[in-house]
Amino acid sequence: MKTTIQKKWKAWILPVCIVCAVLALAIFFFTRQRLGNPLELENNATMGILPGIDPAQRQAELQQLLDESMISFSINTSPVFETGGSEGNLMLENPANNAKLLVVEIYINDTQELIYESKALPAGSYIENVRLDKLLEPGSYEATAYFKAYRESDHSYIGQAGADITLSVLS
Amino acid sequence: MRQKKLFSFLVVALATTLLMVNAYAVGSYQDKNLPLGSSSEVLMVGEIEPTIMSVTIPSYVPFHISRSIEGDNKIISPRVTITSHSGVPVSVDVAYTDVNLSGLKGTSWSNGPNVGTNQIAVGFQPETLSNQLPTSLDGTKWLLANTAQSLNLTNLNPYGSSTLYVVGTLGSSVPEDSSFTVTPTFVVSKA
Repeated sequence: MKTTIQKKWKAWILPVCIVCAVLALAIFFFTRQRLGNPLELENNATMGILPGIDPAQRQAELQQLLDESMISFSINTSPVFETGGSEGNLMLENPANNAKLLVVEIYINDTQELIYESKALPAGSYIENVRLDKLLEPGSYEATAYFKAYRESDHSYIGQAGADITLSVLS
Repeated sequence: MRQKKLFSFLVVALATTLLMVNAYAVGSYQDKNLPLGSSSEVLMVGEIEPTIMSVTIPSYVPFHISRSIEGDNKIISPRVTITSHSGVPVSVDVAYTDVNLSGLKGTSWSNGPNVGTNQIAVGFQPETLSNQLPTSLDGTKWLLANTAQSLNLTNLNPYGSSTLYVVGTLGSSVPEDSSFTVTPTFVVSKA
């Protein structure tokens, strides 16, 4: 009797128990991995301080953008033209420290008519005398010269600033 | 003996020539002296130098706006420094402000500090404390959206400079996950 039980144990019950134990262990490890390890590191995390949290840092970034947008220019506030078709002393300057290309457009304030448009002035250059693109009658004209700034690297537009001038056409 | 006489003659001739030239020069100079009681005309030529205005000014002003910022001013702004490099006093104005709120659904512009729940208002304020963002909206010069305006921001002395900050506020229902653009055009003129 005893030998029959021992034979059954060795031949059948023991292997079944071992297979069950192995299956139980496999299920345990599988489910643990599927449910997630609370200490697992996030793949999407970026090391550092969250952008936008520190106002001083944000202001420094904005300052850098603003500094890039600063433009310097010079212009004669009262250019004189002998006749409507002659050259006048507009005296446009794009200073060397600008590091930008400048295009100048002049509009008559009353009519918003474009009377002059330059080509791009490189930094460190100037135009002393210009001839207007439109023929003006003798008189005095209030106008605005807009200086449009472009990046030297890719000629992309940055922004513009203006200057009020008074044009005089003598005859 | 003959050579000696010739040499003496040359010396005397040279001395005489020098004296004559000197006397003529003195005479010419004395001719310029005016006798007492007479008059003379002096031509003075004046040339008018053109007035050159030379400035450094921003062409673009970036800023951030957030309800989480403490105080009435909800904007983080860079220091906007405008400088005159010439001997001309300069007035700095905003002539036009291009505003694009298309990224903010249902949001509109306000011309002043009192904003509705779906409104935004932006302006400029002069720097009162060095390197410190304004916290209040007192004394703000407000920008008008997409309308010509003549808003004087500051006046510069010859070779002077002035610093401004962008300030503003927004209503409680303005969405915070989008961006918008405010592009003022600065115009300088002889003050």
